[in-house]
Amino acid sequence: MTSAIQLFCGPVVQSVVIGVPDFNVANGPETLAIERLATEPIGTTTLTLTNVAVGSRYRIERQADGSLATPTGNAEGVAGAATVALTLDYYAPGSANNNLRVKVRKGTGSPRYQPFETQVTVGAAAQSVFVAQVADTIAQ
Amino acid sequence: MAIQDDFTLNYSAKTISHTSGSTRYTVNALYSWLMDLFDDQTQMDDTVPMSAQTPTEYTLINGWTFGSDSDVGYLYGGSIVVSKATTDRDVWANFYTLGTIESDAVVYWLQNAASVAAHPGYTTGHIDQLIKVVSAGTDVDSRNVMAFVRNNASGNADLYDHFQAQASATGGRNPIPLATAPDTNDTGGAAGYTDVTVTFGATTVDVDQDGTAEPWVVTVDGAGRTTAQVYERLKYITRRGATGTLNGVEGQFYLKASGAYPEVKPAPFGTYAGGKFFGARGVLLTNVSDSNNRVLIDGDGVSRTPPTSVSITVSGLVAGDRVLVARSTGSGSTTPNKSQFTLAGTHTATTTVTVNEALGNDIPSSGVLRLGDTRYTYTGIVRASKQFTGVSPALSGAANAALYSPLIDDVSAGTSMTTNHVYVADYDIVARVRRKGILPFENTGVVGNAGAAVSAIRTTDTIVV
Repeated sequence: MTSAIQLFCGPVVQSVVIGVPDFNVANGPETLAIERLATEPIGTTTLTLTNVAVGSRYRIERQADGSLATPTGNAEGVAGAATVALTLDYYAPGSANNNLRVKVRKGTGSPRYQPFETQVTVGAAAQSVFVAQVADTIAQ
Repeated sequence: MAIQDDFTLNYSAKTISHTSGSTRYTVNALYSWLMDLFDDQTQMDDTVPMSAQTPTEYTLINGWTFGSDSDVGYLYGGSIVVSKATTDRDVWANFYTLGTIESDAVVYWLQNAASVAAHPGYTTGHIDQLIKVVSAGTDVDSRNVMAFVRNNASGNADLYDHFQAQASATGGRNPIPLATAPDTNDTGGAAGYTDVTVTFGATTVDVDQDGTAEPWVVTVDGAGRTTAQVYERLKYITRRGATGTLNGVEGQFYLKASGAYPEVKPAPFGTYAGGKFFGARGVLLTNVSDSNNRVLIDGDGVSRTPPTSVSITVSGLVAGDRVLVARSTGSGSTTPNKSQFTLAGTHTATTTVTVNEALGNDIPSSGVLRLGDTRYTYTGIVRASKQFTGVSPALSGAANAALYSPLIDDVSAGTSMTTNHVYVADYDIVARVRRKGILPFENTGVVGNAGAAVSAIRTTDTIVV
């Protein structure tokens, strides 16, 4: 887990496990540095899906293993509008967990669309993905 | 039942399997169901199994396959490419028949010299089926499939048809036009005509008797049956379900005598119309009772019509009557033409008689000769050499001695006597019937292209003792 390097009781340096992002550096001993594990996010970012056909189901998953991006509650759902803004964790630069796959499908009810899929790498800066869904004129 | 009740997905093995029911679904229905299913939350973490290129062409993608080939039997109306890998793929092309066929017509398939089973539940009528034309990346029979309709039910036999279609590299939906209708010349009752034989092999026979033998590749021996019966038998041995071999293939798939020849789809060995058998190319029909009813095509594609055979019959006889029918000296003449031939040189006790006159095709190949009042028989004829062979008893005669060949010259064994020969041209005859006890009967006639018939009138001689 993430740990903070602090001065405790004066010159004593300690390393304590802290909860992130809840830890308030203002109320504890002087914090010299915060160390995160590679598997822990270092913050959140906004991933915006645009041009989504209303009613489409979306899923944001990690390319590496297909698991849902985190927080998982934000990583999947049904688009209620053409623009869907998602708050997702991001990781240290270079982490494979930043490499995500965006899936958007709408095969139920007219109009239907062919499955859409693309890839994105998230980071501190907000990102936008244009969802280019193609109408499926064949499914009935 | 709906498609989701009959098909099952295995998400770990990525297979689509038919697991229940007998309903067949369009490929579009399968695709539509999968698109509907895979936008559900529980399926969003699975790869999409199918894509559509056109309303009739689809692909299984992302490593999805069918559980077994038999699953595809429950689909129709579109083709499916199963993309297992870049080059390892199966292509299920869609073939469907159309056209006017009998309601009880049964379509059956041929691919790569083997029968392909019809889809589950098929009985009769048109068919719509997926057939694998690419297997593991390799074309099957160059992606060709042939459909046949050859009903030969007793009392309900049809004219046959077949058609070959080649699928595209992506399968596609391929129409197969077929047409069948009742065959008024086929009763479907030729199962017992087993004496009719078919022999494949090159031969030469002078069918039209023009002096040059023609090439033939298959000989049909009619066993003395009529051409109509032989026609029925030839259709019987090429009917649906005929597994006997003809020229290396099952009869139900037999097409023609040689690869280069045109097909005769309604009846592979030849058709029948107007009381005549019209042979397919290369088919020699022999030993039929009505040999005039043949129009054949030799191996070179030239039509050959056998010469007409005519009969001369004298009826109204009683066994023991002596009958003579001979060419006469002219129309209405009752005088036999005893100078029909003349000896070519002196003959001394010879069994080969050479004459000065041409021996036309209407001189029977065996029969009787008369030199003066002496009756001889002959068993052979060499027309090119103007010779009668097998003459018995041995003949002796001076050069240019007159002789003739009666058409009938014998004692009747029953109520009629008949002789046959090839018709060339009309000629006049005189017929005589004599026997002690009846007044001599004599009449004239003409042998035409229908032969001749003489009805003897036996008037009792009340004076002779």
